[in-house]
Amino acid sequence: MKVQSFIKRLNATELGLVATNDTFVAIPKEVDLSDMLVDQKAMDISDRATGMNYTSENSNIKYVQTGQNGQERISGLGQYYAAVDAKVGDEILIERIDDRRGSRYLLDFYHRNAIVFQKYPDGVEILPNDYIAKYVIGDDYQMEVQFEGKMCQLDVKFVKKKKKKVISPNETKFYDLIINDSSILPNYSYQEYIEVLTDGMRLGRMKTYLHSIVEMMEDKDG
Amino acid sequence: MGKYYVLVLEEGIKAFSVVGHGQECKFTFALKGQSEPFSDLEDGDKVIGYISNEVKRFEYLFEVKHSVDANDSILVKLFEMSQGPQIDILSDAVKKKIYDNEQTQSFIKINEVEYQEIINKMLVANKNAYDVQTSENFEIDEAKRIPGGTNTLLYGVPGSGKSWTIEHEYCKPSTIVERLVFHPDYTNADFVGQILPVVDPIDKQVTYEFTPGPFTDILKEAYLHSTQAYVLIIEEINRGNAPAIFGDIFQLLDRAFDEKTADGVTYPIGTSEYGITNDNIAKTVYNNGNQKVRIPSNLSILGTMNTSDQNVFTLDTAFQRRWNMRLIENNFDNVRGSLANAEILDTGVNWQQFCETVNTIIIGNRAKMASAEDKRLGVYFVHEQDLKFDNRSLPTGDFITTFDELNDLARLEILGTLDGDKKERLSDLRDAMIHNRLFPEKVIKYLWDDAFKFNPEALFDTENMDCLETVIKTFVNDKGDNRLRIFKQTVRDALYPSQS
Repeated sequence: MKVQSFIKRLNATELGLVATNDTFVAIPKEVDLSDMLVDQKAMDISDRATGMNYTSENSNIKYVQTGQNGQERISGLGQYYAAVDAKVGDEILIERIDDRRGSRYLLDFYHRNAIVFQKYPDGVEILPNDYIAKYVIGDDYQMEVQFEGKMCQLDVKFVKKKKKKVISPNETKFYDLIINDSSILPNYSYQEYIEVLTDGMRLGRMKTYLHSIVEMMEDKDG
Repeated sequence: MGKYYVLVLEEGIKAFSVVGHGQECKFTFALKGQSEPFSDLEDGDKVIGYISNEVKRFEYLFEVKHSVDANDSILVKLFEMSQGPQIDILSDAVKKKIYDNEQTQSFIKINEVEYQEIINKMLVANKNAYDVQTSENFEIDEAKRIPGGTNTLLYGVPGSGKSWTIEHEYCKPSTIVERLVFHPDYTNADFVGQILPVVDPIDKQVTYEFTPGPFTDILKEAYLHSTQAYVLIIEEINRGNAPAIFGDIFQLLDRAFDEKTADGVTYPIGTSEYGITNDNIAKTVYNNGNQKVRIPSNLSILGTMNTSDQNVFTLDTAFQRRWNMRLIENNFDNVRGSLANAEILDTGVNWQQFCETVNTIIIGNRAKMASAEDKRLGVYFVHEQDLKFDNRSLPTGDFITTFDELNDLARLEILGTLDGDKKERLSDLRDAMIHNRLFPEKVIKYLWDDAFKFNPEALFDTENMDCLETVIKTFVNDKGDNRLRIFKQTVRDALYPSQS
């Protein structure tokens, strides 16, 4: 028996909230899912939570390579994202199981209730979800977070409004993240995701993906 | 020296649940920011599986069998718990280490002290968890096993103290005891285990698996913990069809009187003399369906049975032969004074005096009753509380009898004119009357309906009371020594020697 699992924490682009309305899971370049997914073929995949089957007849979930850079994606997830009320920072699991019953794919979803920031040269962008709204103070936000094992006040301070790219239709608000009067942004790299889990208000880097394969050495099924 | 890690697993990764205990699996892993997570892993390192997100529980223990490369490793699953300890119960230092790193790492290196703290919490949280064993000592060493396991059947009249004897004579404080009760609907499937539908943790599909019963569970525990004494107590063993419930396990009840060597293993005294083939038990206990099943010598089985009850099954000779029999004597030698000397309500007769007097008559009643000895009152037949007289049942004010007062208060209750004090008095009276009926309804009823069923005249004053209802009513409505008017004169003389 072999179980291949790919977990992705979703960003606004994948949820179709910005730029295009495409809904997908982006597969990072450093992850090789060629043994797990079949290119361009609509997947028969079941939702582990509800048992709902997504097939070529009722959906168009498939593994594709797209765009100029040939980014690998699992696309056609709009129906599923709507069904599970997906938000930025939430986690999707795609799993392939190979056992004596053959191969099958499963989907699962976990709401992580995270406030998510993404770092750019001008500061962080707050990725759109509902969780930060209650911390607003004027143009800024303020909340108590656990950071390096201590409770601290995190000030999300508005810096500027600017188009991310020249061709961007709208301006984006950028913020600084300040703890104890110092910006913590130098600790993070370009486009890195930073999150505050509302459960415990822990501030840290977001692990955006995880890929694991568990293969039984001596098959339990005999 | 081995190193220790916490593997942060996402809630959705359930693949490890289908890996059997002691089974190896190849684990390939990659995550953002840790491109070579296994680069430091070495053979023998221990890895604790921690389910993050909302679960926050420690549920697995693995050992690194072979580190293949920076992304692949062969892990052996040593154990899994369904409800492992939550991170909140750990010390602040360990919590901090995990919380500080779980968002960015999936392999968090911990030291031996931190590892032991987590493992101890896991073992406490689930006493069914496997011993923390390395692959090197995964083979059970029979030479270290506690010898001398036995099967003992304690029998005696109801209330003679069988369960008390087990607790005080057969179980040390350190003994792990499982207790179950046989009944007419109890089956081999309940006792040993059965194939039941289970939901696959990964895809939620229904599969069918052997679900062990209490016998298989304790067998496994005892097998794995060779230096720990276990006792399986089967209460009321003859209330169920014991030979049918034991089924093929019956054969295992033959214990070896000498060390026995079989299949290259030398088993201590008290191990099952003969092993049996039972694929389901063997897979559960030994992880090997081909191994012969034996009751280990550190597991004793104790049964209790009442010898006088109706509606019980007989135990055939072949079954009884495999047990050491122990009669629990029905005497007051070890009965606490507060029970032996407790007065039966307001009769002036204490429990020991009553019990011994009646039991003497029962024994003398052999001609009319088969196995009269079994019909004796057990010294623990009643509870001390049942004997106490609740004097709130005595009439107050101008009332001559309790029933006059009760009827008057009940009439006012129906009319709705009961004031607070009288309401309280009525409630007290009812409680007291219910309490004072406990003894006659339990003991007198047993004597009339069971012990003296065929010749009540041997004990009761049947010339004046010809049915149980009259007997109970007389006992309840009278006071003091008059309550025992229910018995014939010779019995009363024995109970009240000074009056005779």
